[in-house]
Amino acid sequence: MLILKIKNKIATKGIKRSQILIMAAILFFVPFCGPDPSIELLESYSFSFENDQDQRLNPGESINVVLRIFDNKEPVPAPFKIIFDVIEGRGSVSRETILTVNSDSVTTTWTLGTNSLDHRLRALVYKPNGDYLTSTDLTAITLRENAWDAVSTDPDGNITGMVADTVAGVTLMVTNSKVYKQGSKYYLWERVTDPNLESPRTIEIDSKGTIYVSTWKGDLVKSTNHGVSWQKCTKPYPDNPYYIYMYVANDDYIWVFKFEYPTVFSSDGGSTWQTVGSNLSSNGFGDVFRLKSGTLLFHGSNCCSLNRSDDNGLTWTHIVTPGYSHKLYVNDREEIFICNQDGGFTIFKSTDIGATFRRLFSCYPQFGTTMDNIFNKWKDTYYILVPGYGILKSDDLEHYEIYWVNNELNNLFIDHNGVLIAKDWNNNTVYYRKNSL
Amino acid sequence: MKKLKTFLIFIFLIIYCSPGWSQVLTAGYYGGVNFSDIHGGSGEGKWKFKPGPVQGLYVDYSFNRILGFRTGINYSTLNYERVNIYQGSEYYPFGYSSSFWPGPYYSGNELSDFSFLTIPAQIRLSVPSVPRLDLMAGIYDAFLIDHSGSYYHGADQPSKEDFGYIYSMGLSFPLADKLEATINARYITGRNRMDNYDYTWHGSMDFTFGVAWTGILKDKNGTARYQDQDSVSEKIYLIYKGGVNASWNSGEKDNEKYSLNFGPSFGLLVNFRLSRIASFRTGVSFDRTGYSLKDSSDSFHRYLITDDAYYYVDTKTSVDYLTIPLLINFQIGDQGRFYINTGPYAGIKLNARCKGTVFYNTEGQGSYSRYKRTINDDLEGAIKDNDFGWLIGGGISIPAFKRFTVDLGLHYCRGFGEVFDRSYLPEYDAYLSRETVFENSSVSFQIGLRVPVLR
Repeated sequence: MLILKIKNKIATKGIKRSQILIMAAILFFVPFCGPDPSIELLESYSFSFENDQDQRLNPGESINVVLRIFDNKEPVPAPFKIIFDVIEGRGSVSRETILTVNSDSVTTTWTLGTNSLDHRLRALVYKPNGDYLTSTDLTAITLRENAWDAVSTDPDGNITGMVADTVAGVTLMVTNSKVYKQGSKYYLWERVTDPNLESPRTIEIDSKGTIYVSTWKGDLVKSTNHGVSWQKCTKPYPDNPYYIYMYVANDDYIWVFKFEYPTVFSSDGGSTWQTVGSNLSSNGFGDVFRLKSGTLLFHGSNCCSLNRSDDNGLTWTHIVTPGYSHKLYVNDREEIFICNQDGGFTIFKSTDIGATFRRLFSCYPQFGTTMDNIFNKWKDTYYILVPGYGILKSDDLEHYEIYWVNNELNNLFIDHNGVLIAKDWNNNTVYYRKNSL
Repeated sequence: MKKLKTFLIFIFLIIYCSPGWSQVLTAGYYGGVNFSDIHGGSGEGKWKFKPGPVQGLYVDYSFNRILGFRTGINYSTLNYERVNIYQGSEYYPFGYSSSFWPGPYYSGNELSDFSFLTIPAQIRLSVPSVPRLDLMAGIYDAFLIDHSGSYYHGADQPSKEDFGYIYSMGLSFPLADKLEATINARYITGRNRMDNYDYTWHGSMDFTFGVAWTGILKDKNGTARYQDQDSVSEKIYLIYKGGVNASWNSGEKDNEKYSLNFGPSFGLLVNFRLSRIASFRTGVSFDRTGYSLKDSSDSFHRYLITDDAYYYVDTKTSVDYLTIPLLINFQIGDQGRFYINTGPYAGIKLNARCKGTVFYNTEGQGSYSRYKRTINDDLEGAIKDNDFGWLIGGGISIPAFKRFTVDLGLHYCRGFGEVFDRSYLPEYDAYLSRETVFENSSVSFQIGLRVPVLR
């Protein structure tokens, strides 16, 4: 039947060759037609916490969490199902599941756990039909007592200097070329700004509570009101535009060192400067202590450079030290302590102004480096940092106990409340420990 | 320019010496339109078939009624345009981080044009029907006369010369004494890279109308010599055919993921009768094969998943071939009412592209965006130049009018081996596992019109 119909159709209507050509042309060209490449945004949403990330809080504290909802395409956000899930820190939230209706934010209260340093709250976003869209996290840390808690965030991750005034109850630090003052909690820091505080580098304090800051431009700035205001001192090296090494001795003299410059000191709080003799600068920068007799003791950063001066720094006499000594400390009883590299790290003691030395303690650190801030005292206890090894504890500097072994430590500070703040070698992490026991 | 001069001298000598020869010489003029068809693309973006002018002169020298040689001079301008979309990253509204902001996207068009003076040289095979069918194949040498463009990179200048292959098919209609009208279609594919930077080659299709003067040579009586066409050959006939291909992917790897793709199939066959029921058929046809993919995939063009698929694709991947079959045909049944045929075929790749829609999400910390992307990607560089396979067909023959017959039939084609170029398959796992990713298969429904050939 079909054949017959086709046959009749051809017989009655006929097929012209031109029709065949036109049909062929259509068949040829139509398949080449197609839309141009394009992209259409069908839907787009963003979700972000109004709260700051990495907030520092006490264990058990709560945060009023606000999650903002953005519809990047439509003026009114679509409805979502949002589930808050505490995935780290064992805390809790007041509202776990929230169904939004045209709202641009949701809130919940996040109570932090008590036994964890790190806390993480995750907001999981779903469409009302259950299709997962995305998630975003809010993080917080709680610093505990009697534990070392690591913090790797600004501003304190890269502390380069710290001073603590226990009388005034003030602690200031220099980090990332800025000065910060300790806030209401020992782990909170507030930026200190002043026109004279340009590119701070190191910070020291004298016995009267005057704070000195040296800058990357070679200036010396001081504050006599616990960091509220700052004044520039006379520039130790007027022609030097670069950084200096600054040290405040136990007699409140300010010592300044600079390679290829003579070492100078100021006895009047940085108003005038006096050059020391005997080419002391060839020994590098270091520590200076004045004994009750008026004798000055100096040990530079270079090896074996213990010197004494009995004429207020005009001339210096070398004192032989055991091994490759690098660090000098003099306690209140005028006992001299020398750290050298025997067996890795060894502390020696002299009670006769360096005539003889006695070995006290040795340990083997992971690495050797400059010894910047080794001897720290809080009340009657010394905390001695051994870079690459950890922290020693001693009540008399005669007997030592290992307080904390951490091969990554590089520096140690103590705030005005006795909180230990140890700095990691990575220049990114500090460890807080507040002792209450 | 030395080659051009040599060729012009050669053409002049043919014309000058023609009175001493006894064969037919024809001269003609043609003009029309070309559609650019760049070759070699395997990246994102759509190359448009842009029109441009084409015109030329030719001389045609016939050795006999079937075989001839044609050359001439041709001027054409190829206009290329590539359309693509890009995502900008330089602008974010205030308050948005880069991970939040989903755009912007903008489209970019790359335009260029090339004007060539081309010298083709083709061998002609004629089928003495009315109209006369001419099939030609040959080479060309082209000289760049002018160009401009927006997508050339710094100092990368286009090649001054192009060489390549040219295929054409034309019909000639007698208009008057010594005058013929011609319709011609040509497919031109270059073999010199367009420049030193891109792996792309010139290409175009053109469609021209022309007139030809057949009275250049005269016999002893002073009349023009051209072929007489009076009686119908009983041994040869032509079949003009057209239809629809339903093609699919018979590759060994994940072939269940693909579905049918439909495309045109049209061309012509020459049937040489061998006996009462047996005949030999050959010819050329344009065939579109390929497959559809509607699934999750990391690729627009094929099923590929590593971990979670990034896209949901709804695309058609198509490859256009110029197919040349070599078939044995049997007319069976009452008065040869039914036919079956089988034989090998060779496919010459003309184009390849992937078109369709792709959906995908981008998700970052606290952000989610969903996009719909329309793609039209040139895949020619990803497909092998040739495909070989086997064809089996059959149908019914319906006599129509007095001298014509209509064929209605189906044929099944199966390609041998991988269609993708191995170097294109990015993960090479198909190569290592020896599994093919893409093999051609198709069933075509075709309507053919048998046209008698004159002796």
